[in-house]
Amino acid sequence: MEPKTILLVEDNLDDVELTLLALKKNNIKNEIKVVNDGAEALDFLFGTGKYSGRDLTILPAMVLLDLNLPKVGGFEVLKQIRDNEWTKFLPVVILTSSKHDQDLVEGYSLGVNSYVRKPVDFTQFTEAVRQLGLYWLLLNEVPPIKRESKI
Amino acid sequence: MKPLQISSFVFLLFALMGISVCFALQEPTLSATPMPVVKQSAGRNTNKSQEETKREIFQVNESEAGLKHVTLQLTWLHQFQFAGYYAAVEQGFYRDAGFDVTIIEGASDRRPIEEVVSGRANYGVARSELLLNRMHGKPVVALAAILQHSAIIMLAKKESGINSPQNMIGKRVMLLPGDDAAEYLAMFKSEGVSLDKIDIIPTTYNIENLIDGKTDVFNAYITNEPYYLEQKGIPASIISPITYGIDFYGDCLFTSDQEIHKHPDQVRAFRAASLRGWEYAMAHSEEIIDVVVGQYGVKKSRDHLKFEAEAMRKLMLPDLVEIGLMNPGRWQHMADTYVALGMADAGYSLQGFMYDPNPTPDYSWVPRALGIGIAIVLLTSSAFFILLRFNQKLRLEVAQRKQVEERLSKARNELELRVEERTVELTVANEQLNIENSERKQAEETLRESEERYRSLIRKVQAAIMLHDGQGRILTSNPLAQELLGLSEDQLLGKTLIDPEWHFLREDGSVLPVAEYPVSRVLTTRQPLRGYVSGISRPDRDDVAWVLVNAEPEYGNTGEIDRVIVSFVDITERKQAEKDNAWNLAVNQSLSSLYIPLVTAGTDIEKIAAIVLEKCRQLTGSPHGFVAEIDPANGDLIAHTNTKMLQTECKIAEEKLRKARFPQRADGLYNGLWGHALNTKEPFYTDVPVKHPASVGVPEGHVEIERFLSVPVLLAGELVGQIALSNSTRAYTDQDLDAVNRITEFFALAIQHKRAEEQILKLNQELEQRVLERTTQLETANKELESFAYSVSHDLRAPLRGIEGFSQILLDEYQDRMDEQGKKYLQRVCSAAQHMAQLIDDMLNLSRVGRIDMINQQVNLSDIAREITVDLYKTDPEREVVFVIHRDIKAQGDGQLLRIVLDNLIRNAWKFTSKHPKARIEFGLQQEKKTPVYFIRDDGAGFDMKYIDKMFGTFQRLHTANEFAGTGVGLATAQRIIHRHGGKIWAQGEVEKGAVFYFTIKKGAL
Repeated sequence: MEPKTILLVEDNLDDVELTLLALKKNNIKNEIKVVNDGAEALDFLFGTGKYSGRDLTILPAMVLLDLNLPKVGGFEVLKQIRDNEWTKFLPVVILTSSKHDQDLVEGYSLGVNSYVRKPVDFTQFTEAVRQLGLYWLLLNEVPPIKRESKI
Repeated sequence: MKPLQISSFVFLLFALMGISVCFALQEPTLSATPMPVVKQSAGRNTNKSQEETKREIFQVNESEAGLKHVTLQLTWLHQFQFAGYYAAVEQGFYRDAGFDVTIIEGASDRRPIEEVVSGRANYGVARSELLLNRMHGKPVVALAAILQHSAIIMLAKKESGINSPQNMIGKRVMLLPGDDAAEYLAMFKSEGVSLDKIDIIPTTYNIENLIDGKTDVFNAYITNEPYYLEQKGIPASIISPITYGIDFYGDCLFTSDQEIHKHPDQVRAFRAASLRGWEYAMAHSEEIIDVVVGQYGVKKSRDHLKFEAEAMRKLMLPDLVEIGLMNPGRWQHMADTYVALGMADAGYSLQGFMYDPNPTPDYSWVPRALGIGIAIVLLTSSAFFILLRFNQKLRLEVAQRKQVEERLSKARNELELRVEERTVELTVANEQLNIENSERKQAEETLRESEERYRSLIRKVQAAIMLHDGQGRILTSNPLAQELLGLSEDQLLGKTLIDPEWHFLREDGSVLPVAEYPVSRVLTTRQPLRGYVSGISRPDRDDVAWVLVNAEPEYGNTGEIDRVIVSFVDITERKQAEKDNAWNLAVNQSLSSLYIPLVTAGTDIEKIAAIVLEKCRQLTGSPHGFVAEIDPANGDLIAHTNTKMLQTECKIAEEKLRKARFPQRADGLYNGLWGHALNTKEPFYTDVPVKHPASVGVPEGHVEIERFLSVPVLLAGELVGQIALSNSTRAYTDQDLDAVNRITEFFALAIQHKRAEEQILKLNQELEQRVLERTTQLETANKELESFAYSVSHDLRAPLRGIEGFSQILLDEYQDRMDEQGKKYLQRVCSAAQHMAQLIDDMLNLSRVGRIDMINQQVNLSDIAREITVDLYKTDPEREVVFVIHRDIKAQGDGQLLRIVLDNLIRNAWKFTSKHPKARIEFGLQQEKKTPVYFIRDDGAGFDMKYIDKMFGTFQRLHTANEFAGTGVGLATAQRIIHRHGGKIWAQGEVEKGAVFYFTIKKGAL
């Protein structure tokens, strides 16, 4: 079975690069779909804008979501994911620089599955990515979603 | 037969006494052995100079020349304390009395009482313990009390703080041995200080022991040791038994029963010579000081001896008390004290203890003497009969002499009686003469006084007098009456009813009917009328004269009223004063009724205005008025209150009257009559308002103004209001104006008060507004700060991650294409980025602890410390660090924040001990002045105290990053947390010897 896509929502290109490197280092072979702002993430997930017509039945395995994003912020993206019947069980991991208490509270209130603060140390970062991949891609089970559900 | 027998018996006793006395008198001559005494004194004072020894030998020689040798045992070493005895020696008083006296110094093993009782000395000097010894059965007899008060005191160094017996509890106290300590013991007992609470040590008699601290309290003589301490400049406290009611005799001269019985005359003579010596010594203390120094080799300075002499004088009171005087009552009291102390039994007797230099026959010795006598009588029975005959002859002679004496006495009595009678006669005659004289004088005096009184009375009579006949017609009048009534004698003569324009008034001002005139009433009632007050209204005068009237009837022979004498006294002034007083009282009452509302907080101006108006209306009798205030904003006059006369009379609506506004004109003046007082700032009144130039009439419906009074209210010259009144039933007067003026002053204060309150209110509002603005600014600033912190957290970390991450990748993936130097540089880029990340985190933490809401809870710091140490062990299990964490140290505060404090401090200790192979880190609690002080102590690198200022500053470090890693934010964070807990944090350290961090937490700071 073809490994599912990982949706990486990240505007900082350095971070994108580092995340990809960390995934690669951990032998995570899933296809990585990178979008650089919240609006594009929503377009991708709900088949709107430049992604209209995309086969929406193919959901990503998980979403790595930054918070401080251009256009639509991370929390808004999360909210819309959770509000939609089709995507509401999608594993979403907030991967951010912020350790702000309020952000943590807000993230969990909106139903995030995990909140990971990106370490500055690349070794640690790699380790964090490894664990995320191990858990969310291999160990975690997601309930099936009814086909009739409207998007 | 019986009386003769008794008298013979008594005589026998006397005779026996004579024999016994003779027997006793012989004894000293037989047993006088002075030599052993000298040996004793020479033997005990081994250091005596040759000269002294010579003197003693000389004295021995002298004693051989017919003088009685006696010894006097002193209590202590030669000093001024014994001046009297030296004086008696030097001045030859002892020699004159037939004595050769050796004075022996005392020592701790040579106590006077023992010496005297044992017979080794004849006389001794002792303090009050003498009495105690007597009570214990020692045969000692007090001859004279030299010191009326005891010199015994206790000394303590001032610095010890001991100044009473109570203070001596738990202290070392030197005391004299045994009974000698009686006064001290009595003092402790009287002060309720138990002896087992005092560390009593035997005295060394050495004041140095107090100075060098071998004892806390030293037994001393007030005449001696205080001087030493003073000379050495050691401040001392004197604790004297006298202060605590233990007032015993001081030094006394004493001897033994034995001595008195053996040598009564000697004792008397020795006592007298000694007291003479004392008198001399106290009168010539300088001279005796020379003797003490020269003859007795006393080593003390002259100053010291002078001090002693002065101290002695205070205890002897030689100018007040006969030297040597003893009071049986005082000895009794002392004895009772000993009993109370349990030092002696209650069943004591002082019989024979006090020596009486002039004894009355004392029969106490009779049985003893009788015993001896009987023995002699048995041996010499013949002597009895000789004596009996001698006795009879003597009795006869006595009887004859008595007869002669009786005759003489009778003659003298008669003479005295005659002299007395004559004296009485003369005295009586003298007294009569005196009485007559004074009676005449008194009569003359009375006459003169009475004349004087009459004259004075006549002068003082200011009454107007009129004489009426039985029909009420005026017969005569005096000039004062004519003046008062304003009528001539002729006008008055023969009139009954006076001119109709002229009349009497009642006190209330109404006209008095003729039937009630004083004369009419006397004629009707036939009774005198006294103290009647009436007004006299004359046609030629406006004012009323007030008079006090007396009317007395005079009866003729028939019993009919012949005449009525009417007298008047002018009391107009008094009446006016009464009226003034009543007015002043009313005004003052009005003012005082204003006082309370004025000083009561929260009373509004309307209420005060209402009271002001009410009082003004009452005082001036005005039905109408208003009290108004000027609005400082626009000058409008606001009537806080207005009254409507009789409701219906004024057609202006009630609500229009209340709070009515009367605007100021464009020219700054006010309209109409009411405006006049405001414009002129002068009070005024008018009884004809319509004629007043300021009058402009009244609006329709307004009541007509018949009279008007107005007072402007001024505050420091500024016009602030007005009181206006109108339509009084009587004319307004200056008095009204004055009263309203006075009330106005109060109202001005009320306005001032109101304005001040308004001002405060305004300022408060402004202040609140400013606080609100500032708070908003601060909140904005806070938000900006938070957003800054957020962006620091988020935005600064991202590029750092790039720097670190890519460097790491270069190191990992491209190492084969880089030389060693390049790798090193890259590693340094990595660690710099990591350090910066740490800095950012710490800084964020620091700002966080300043902002988060604290939760007050009980925190177990020991548990937290233990958890931290467990974590630390894990980071480096190889290290040999001993953690000592005191158990159950608790604090009240925010657990999360206090954990950060402990974490920082313990981690610091861990870090700074890392260079030592072994280390010890301790967390504990100590109490300093009731404040718990927490501490963390290590034995690591420590620090130099001169950099202590930098310790708690943000980004301040005392070690380089090479020595110890760190950001310099940890202690700043800890300090901020402790400050938020109202506590303090500080540190002590020494390079390479470790550091201690202390902190406190204020109770209830959260």
